[in-house]
Amino acid sequence: MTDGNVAAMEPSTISIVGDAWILHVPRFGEEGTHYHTYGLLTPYFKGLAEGRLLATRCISPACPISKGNGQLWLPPRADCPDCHKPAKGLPLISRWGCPWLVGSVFRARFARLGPLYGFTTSTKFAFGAV
Amino acid sequence: MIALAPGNLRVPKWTRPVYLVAAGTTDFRKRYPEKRLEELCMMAFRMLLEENDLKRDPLETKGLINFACYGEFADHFQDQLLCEAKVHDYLGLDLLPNVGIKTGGATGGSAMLMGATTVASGMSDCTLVLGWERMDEVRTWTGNYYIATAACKDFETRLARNYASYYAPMARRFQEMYRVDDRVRAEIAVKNRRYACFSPFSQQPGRHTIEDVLNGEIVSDPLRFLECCAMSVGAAGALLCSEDLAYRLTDTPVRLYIAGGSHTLRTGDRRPMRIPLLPHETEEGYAWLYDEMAKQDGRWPGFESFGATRFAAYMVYRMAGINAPIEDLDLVETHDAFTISDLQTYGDVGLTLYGREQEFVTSGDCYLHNPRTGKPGKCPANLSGGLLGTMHAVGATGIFQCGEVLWQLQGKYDTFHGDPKVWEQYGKTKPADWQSLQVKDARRGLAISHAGVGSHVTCAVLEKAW
Repeated sequence: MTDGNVAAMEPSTISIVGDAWILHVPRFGEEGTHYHTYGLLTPYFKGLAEGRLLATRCISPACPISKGNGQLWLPPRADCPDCHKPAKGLPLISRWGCPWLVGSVFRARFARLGPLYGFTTSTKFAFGAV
Repeated sequence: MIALAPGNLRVPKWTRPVYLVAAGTTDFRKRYPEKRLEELCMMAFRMLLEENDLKRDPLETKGLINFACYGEFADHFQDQLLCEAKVHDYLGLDLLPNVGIKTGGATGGSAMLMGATTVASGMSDCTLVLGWERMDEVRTWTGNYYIATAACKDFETRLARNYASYYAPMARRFQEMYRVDDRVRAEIAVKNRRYACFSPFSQQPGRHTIEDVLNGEIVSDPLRFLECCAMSVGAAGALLCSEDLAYRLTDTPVRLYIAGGSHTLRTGDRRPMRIPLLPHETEEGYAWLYDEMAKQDGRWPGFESFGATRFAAYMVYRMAGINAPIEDLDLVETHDAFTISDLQTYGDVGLTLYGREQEFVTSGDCYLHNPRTGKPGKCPANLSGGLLGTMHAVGATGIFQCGEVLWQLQGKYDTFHGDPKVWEQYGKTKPADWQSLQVKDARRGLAISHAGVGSHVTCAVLEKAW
């Protein structure tokens, strides 16, 4: 993607509910907007906004595939497909010792914090794009 | 006039019997931002594998799966085509075959039906049936717009973009023809929403009175707010097996019989026909009804009844050897998307004769504890809380219903609904006045999955097999 194209992109709008980021996808204008949750993958997208690239891996010793030392999932998964252990309690992997950091985001843009289903007010919000 | 040839009425004959051994579900919410769709499906899958007392450990059981049937009502809602591939991968089931099944509101039931045929035919010894819906990505009115695309675009949809509007004229006609008071419908809403109070999975439990229902806002005359189900998010799954495998996995498998029927999407275009008779009905028994219809410009199935439901019941009762539904069935889960669809269905599946549907409610037979007699109801309906009280995450609904019937037959209502930890898992507190809705010694249950204004329907008979 060239700089020109990036500059032409409209900033994305998100809403925050609890720990989850919800991305607005305005497919058919306001009435047809899809409010898509990032659910348990929210830390990944939050990481992008903070300049970090995150991944997951399975660390369950009982897992028949990872045997507690799984390969990186990137894009990340919140649950291991082989042993079904949820991500909660699974540390995200580190390349440089920091438990969350495996890479850095080379470009960050701004996104708006927007009204969810039209109910809250908008503010500026930092958002990352790789 | 529709006239079915004898060949069309062939009763399905499966090559091998089919068993249901396990079920799993999420709780259901109007909005579920905490989890992505695949993450919700994993919740239901994990519960299915881990919490049904199977004799193999969860991953060993997973290793027996040969085929997956997935139910999703509308790609529109998820804004994602081929969710099936994403879910299948997320559950770690690649490279096994899977198919996506879509028949509107009956999607869950049709997924069960197709899953059953994979086992019955020998294609599979162990089939995962899993369904979901995520209806919280859009505003409620946009969601209603999406759902209304399940009416005929040329002749119906432009009249109203709200599904209650398609059921409202059916309610009007049904009540005029059979002289039904609004209070009968209201009682159904009160009952099902109250049963939902005892389910940790339920989305809109409520302790309402008939007056609360009747004083509620009109959604589409005569249907009031509390008579309509809500947008819903969640997933549910079921595990179907061959006979040999079923008994290796559990000591309490349930035999599954399931059949389907379909009818035109346009209610007003339904051509009349003679009523296909259930085993306990006779032509003479309906002479009065044909006379009545002649007087009132009526026809069968007309606006009053669902031909697709009758066809599915006609087949499944013959498959399962049900000769007197109200006696042979110990519980039923109906598709109460609206109170009126619940009421209309009783005649279609023979819990009462046609024209006498309201008696199933007024007699108290539809309750676990009959409030009129103080005795057990003959065939309690929607102890799960139904669509009105508990859930209608459309692609999951027919599967969830079968799961609830499975647990009832296994005597596990309390295990899945009464454990405070289950409630806490969903961030809820078990109500102090919680009651067990376990049906005593239940042997057979019926689950009805229903689409549109009766465009596709499946009827499943589940039978204790130990």
